[in-house]
Amino acid sequence: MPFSFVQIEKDKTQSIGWSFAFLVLFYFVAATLLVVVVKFLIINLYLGRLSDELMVPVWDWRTLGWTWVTAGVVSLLHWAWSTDSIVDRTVGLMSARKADTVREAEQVLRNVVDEVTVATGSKQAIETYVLPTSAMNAFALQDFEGRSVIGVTEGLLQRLNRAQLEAVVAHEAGHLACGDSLSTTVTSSIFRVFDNLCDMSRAAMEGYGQGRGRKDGRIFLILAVIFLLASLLRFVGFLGAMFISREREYRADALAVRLTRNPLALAEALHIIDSRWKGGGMPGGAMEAIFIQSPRRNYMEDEEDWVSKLFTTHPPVRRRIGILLDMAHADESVLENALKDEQRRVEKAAEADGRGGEGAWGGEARWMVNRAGQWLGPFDLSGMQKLEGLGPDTLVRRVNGPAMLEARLDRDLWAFLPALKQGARPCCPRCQVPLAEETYEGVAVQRCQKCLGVLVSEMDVLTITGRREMMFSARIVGLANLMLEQPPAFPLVPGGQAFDEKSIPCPVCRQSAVRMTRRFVNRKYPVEVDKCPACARVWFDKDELELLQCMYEKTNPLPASAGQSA
Amino acid sequence: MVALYVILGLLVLLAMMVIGTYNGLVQIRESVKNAWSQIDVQLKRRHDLIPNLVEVAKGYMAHERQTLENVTKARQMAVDASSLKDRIAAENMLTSTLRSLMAVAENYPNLKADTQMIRLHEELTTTENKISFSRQFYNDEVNRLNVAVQSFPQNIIAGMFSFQKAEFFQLDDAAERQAPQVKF
Repeated sequence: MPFSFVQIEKDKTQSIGWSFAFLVLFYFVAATLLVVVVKFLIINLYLGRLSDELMVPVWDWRTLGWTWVTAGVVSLLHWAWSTDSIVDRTVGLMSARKADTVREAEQVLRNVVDEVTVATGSKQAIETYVLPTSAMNAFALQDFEGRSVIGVTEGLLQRLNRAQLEAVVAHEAGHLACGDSLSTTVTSSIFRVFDNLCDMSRAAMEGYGQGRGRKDGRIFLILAVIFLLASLLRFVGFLGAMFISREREYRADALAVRLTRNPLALAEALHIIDSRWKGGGMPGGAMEAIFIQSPRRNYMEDEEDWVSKLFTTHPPVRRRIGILLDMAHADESVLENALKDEQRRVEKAAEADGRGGEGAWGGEARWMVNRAGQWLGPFDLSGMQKLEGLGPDTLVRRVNGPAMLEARLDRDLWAFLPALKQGARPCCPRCQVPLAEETYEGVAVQRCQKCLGVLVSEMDVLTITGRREMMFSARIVGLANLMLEQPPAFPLVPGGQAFDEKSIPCPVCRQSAVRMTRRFVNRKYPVEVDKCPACARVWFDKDELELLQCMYEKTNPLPASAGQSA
Repeated sequence: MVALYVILGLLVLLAMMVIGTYNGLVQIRESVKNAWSQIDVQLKRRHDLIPNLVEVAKGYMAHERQTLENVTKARQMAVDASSLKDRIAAENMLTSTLRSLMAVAENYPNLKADTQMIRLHEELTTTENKISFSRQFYNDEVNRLNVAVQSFPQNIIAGMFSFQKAEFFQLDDAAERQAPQVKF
């Protein structure tokens, strides 16, 4: 290959220039539009009624000049604010911490990062961070001074072997060498400002609404306007993904192979990461572009058309693995065998260490608790109950247990520590990973990023079935046809419901130990769902919502004329 | 008159080309030197590590004196080697003796469980990996230099200023083959 890593480093500054130019342009256009629209509205709706003589032109260079100066200043401030100590703030947002030398696994990670640095031939040291979560992902960050950070999650440290870890780190080092990390760090930081503004104004509005005392409608109106503007800007952040090309991931994969000469290990790592929870719904999970795989499950990611390519930051994982397997002159079966061998090796090692297996779980359970990287304990159940500051996301490990996990994922802790449930975000009733908000047919729903189940309030189910923007894959359409032709037998009385051993807790009302009831959506559409009797939210497992909507559209086709008049 | 200018212009162009090529070659040559010094750092690190390793291993494997002595001897040879060729041979030798030491160590569960040994083993693993990665980088840079030195028209300038091909750091295949097959 003609280029060396030293040469790639020279092309970095360009992308920064582009992102700054974009920011300035964005503020100019936004400010101009705002002024023009507001003036137009005031003149036409308000002044226009008073008298025709007061009509003034919407364009006026003086105002426009001031607008542009303001926009320029604001964009400069925004740029300065969002690029100041950018790495520290991003790392802080994800509550990542530096890898230490005390724990063996973290020492190995540091060594692996050093090894990869040697392989790039670069003298720039790379800092190593660990994300305290059982999710599987890795990221790279870089700032203007060239400070580079590679971070991996605890889950990844636990489940990957050395070669796979090396491949993942090499992928991230590839991003660093190309300057991808610099541009993604800067862009994600720039657009995060809009995100924060949106959350802040919403919180202020809610706080104001709940507060006591005399309410002033005008303050509420101002907050509402800020919220609307911020939401609009947040949408712009979504467009920011357009500037981040999918091709970067292919390139980083290729560079990783060039560094480690081990395409199979990277393919294995990608496969393992893909088959697990990747951190969607966690803080920092929204910064998709910095991760090796997008933390969110994104339907568009698996498509290859130009719209999907424009709006997603990562290419289909299957495709990436396919390319890597081609490099290794291997096919899927080789990958499967390698993963099986690895599984066997891990089990054997666990057996040899005398942990794992059913026997080790017997007796009184005791836990170690992770506090800022240090393991405290062991505590028994009553000790855990007395322990302060134990949250749902605190990492715990059973003594003699196989692996560490979040406290909310441990069944005993979850059952006996009511404190855990109070602080918990709504979590998937099946996988216990936090649900991430998303918009489905224009309705806010909450989706599990691991099993793709979705929580919808009952009212919204009606709204969703009424809307028709979604396109369905051939698989969903086929399933819907099948279910309409051969409806499954109804074991329940019409409109009836049942508790059974499969019933799950409601993700929202779980403090009160309410369980959801299993039932069909209704007699006509035999989709089996879980409904919470307390808060009227409905849990759809993967594909069920799409299936219901597809069946509804098939049985209620739009009349041709209605379509036109609507 | 016009012809003179044309010739003058061509000469300036040629001089610029020569300067550009020369600087490019110097850059690659320095990069190769730098890559070699990177290997050197890692090899030295390995030399420093071995006495500790042997010391810890001695306590557990009294019956394997021969293996331990081989490692110490190979290390001494590598430290003493003067010419590049000798050095590469000695380092390859050291790699293979270390491998056989590690393979033998598999039979001593107590040694494997020793906390100091675990740390040393990890250190050794990472150093070995760094050696192979820095060797890989060195070979890539050598390859770049060799291609530049031999291809036309750089080869003319390389010949004029005596830029020479560099030597690859090759793994001795024989040493690789000698590595013992571990059977459980």
